Amino acid sequence: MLKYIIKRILLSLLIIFGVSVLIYTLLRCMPADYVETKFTLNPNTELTPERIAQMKELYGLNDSIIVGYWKWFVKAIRFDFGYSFKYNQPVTKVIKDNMWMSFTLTLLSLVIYYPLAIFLGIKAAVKQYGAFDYATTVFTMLGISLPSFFFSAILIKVFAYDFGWFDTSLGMKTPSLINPTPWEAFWDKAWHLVLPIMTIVILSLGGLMRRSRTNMLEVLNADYIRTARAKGLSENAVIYKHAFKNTMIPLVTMLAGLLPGLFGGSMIIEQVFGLEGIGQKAYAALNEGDIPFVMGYNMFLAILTVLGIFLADIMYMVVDPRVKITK
Amino acid sequence: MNETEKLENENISSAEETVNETAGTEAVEEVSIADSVRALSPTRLVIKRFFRSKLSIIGLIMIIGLFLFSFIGPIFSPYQEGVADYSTDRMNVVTTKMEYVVDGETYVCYKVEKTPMAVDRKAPVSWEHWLGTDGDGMDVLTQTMYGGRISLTISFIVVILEMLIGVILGGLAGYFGGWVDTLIMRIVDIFSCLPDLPIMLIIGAVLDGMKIPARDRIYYMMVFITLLGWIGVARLVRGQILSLREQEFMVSATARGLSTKRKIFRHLIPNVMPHLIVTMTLGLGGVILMESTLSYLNLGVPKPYAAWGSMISAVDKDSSILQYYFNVWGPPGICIVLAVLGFNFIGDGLRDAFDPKSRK
Repeated sequence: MLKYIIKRILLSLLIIFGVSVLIYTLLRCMPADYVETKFTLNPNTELTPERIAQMKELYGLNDSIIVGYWKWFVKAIRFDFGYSFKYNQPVTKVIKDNMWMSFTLTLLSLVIYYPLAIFLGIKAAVKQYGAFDYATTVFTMLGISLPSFFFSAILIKVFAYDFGWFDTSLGMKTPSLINPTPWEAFWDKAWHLVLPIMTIVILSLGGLMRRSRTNMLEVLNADYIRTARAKGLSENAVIYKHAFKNTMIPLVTMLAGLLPGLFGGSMIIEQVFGLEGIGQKAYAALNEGDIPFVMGYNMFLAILTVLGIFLADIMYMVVDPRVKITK
Repeated sequence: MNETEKLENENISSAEETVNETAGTEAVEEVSIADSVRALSPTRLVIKRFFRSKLSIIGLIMIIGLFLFSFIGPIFSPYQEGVADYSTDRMNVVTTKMEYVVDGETYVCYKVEKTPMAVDRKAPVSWEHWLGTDGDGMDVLTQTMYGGRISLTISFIVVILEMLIGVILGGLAGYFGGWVDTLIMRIVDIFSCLPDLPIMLIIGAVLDGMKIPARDRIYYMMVFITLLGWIGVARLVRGQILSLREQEFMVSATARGLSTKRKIFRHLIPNVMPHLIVTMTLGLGGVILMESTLSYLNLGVPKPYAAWGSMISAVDKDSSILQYYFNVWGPPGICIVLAVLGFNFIGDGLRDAFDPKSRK
């Protein structure tokens, strides 16, 4: 067990190293670096070329890719990801400050769609080829096929513009709300999260529901289910006590795999709804060539992904005692 | 349902047994039975099973329809891609409100000015423009058709490229094992931890800087979508080959002294094919979603040319389009959904057709 874990950790470190090299190289290939976009493209600039060279030196943009990467690497292994060019703050602080918005959004959606998907999947499986089953199949397929930006546009049009239930300006606050009490401000904020959450729930529901349905069908064909029925147990007991536990195995392990999405935010949805989460910050930073922040953000995502895979394996062993490590 | 199927199967097998018994005694009978039974090749069986499912037929119709729409459609359209419609008799109407106070009473006047429109912008749905025109005065229907060309072509090219790279690398890893396997799988691990969207955004910016003609950019992007996408195929092929390698027919192939090339291309690849085709069909939808997301973020086909994603992004720049002109951004969105849905239906149908046992 210990040997396995050590092996996995070494492998994860290798992966993270590989990812960082790739991303750094790509970032440095970007044509317009931060200094250029910020100062030279500004028509009012009065900076002399020497000053610009100085600035570039200051931002570390004059180093070659290898030297630059080495400088970044030496700091990064001590969890110092440097200063964000754009936000003028340590990268770790920007991530920490903006992470919770994305986290709240994703977590709330997760709490809604996970149980819902499992429940609907089981219902569909129990009545296989029934009307409910077909309806859910078509619905899930639709959910999988909708691009997030199109679906959120539809939601905004229908619920915000046509029905007028939601604020049509982007962001988290209703502009007309002046001097709100803390309670009002809280409700206002929560109300602004409804549409984004709806988007995520409907788009994520499909895939999970199909998986839950497939699992349930597999379990329902097992011998012990036939035994349970032969014993004369009620259908409810068979499904929700005997079958349910085993359908949960892959679904619980999948939870760990959602880790990067949970903290990493989603660029598109945050962008469309104007939510100030980490995805939006990263998108803006990417467009301006803010190398430290983009590196930090991508490392954050890579570490979460690796961690997610690792946790999923561990969860598998915890949930299903039959699974043993072979390597 | 399962019960009855089993019963039927049993009936058939018992019938076969009796046939076999009688066949030994009467050779004449055997010939007549062989003639009366229509033998279907495995491929024919798959096709037959595929067309039995309603959803796969619907999917096929959707995809064929979209292909006709985007490749044949523009021939019948009087408008061209990326060209605004200048011939219009619509007027710009500007209303100015004026208030006069005469003898303590207020009079409100409205001044209505009509000027001819140079470009037919945001035209409503009409006989001339079946889906109206967008904010730049381009015919939405025509733009949607051309956008379809981009999405459909790219999805097929990307998926075929992914398949080539994935089959070669996954096959090598699975067949040879050892350090080849370790090396390739570590590369796969690294690539699977790269976040798709940020990477594509960076690559988009890099391509911009390399002064690549805007029209060609999407083809370069395509190469990079492939580079991010082949890992799934490689994993699938490797897993399949690992399990196939141990089976009896491969032992027999080795015992007969077949060459490695023959073993790979005649014995292993055909066995991987069904899985691969299903994955690729489902992958087509994924590529379309990716491509339209990139175009939505203006990383795909540049402006006057059409792509489904970039047509929807008009919503971001002008909120009145979002509010009042569903005819501008709705059709491309519906096309994306139809395309992805169609490929998913076909993929599901193919999976059931290839392996009836997996039908769940």
